[in-house]
Amino acid sequence: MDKKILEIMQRVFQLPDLTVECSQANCEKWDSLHHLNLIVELEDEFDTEFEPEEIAEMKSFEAIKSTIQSHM
Amino acid sequence: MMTFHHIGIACEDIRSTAEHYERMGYKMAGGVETVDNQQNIRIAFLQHPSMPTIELLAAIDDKSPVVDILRKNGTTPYHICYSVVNLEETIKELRKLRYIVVSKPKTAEAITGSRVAFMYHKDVGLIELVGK
Repeated sequence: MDKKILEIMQRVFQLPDLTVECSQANCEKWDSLHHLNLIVELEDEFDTEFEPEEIAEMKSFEAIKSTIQSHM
Repeated sequence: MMTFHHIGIACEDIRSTAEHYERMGYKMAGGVETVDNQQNIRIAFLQHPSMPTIELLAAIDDKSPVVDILRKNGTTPYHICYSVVNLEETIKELRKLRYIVVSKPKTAEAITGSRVAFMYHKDVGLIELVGK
């Protein structure tokens, strides 16, 4: 799962060197539009639907991973 | 069924932007802007007899939803709003088309008696739905 999430984040943000340390606080490209595109890609990849409250909290690699795990 | 309701434009200052539309014959509904505490935003509707209704949206503080887009693009179109008969059913239908729900239905203080929700699709952008 880590690898898939990381690949999606790297693709959406167009940052091939992005690591699991990435969060909205330390990633300049992680603006609101990229965030929505990231959520769309994550929903497609993991075949799930996130609630608006979850979307608002998924602002780091770890938070994304934790939210996806809660859907499994 | 969805029908066009208005275009939302994020702006730095409602009065400054409204002046440009007023020169084209738009009038501000009610003559004043309103504060939508639910959405944490300042709003003004501009109406014209033969052109689409425009909603101007300005930030109240750093947590306002338009802060990010204003920082990146300055004053710019933000969303298109559609009127729907059944908000919940429309959300369900759009969910099947891979729209994501950005904001669940809540009362719109600037559109009396209505509820609004925001959805996003990567091929469409941000849309607002207004229902009863």
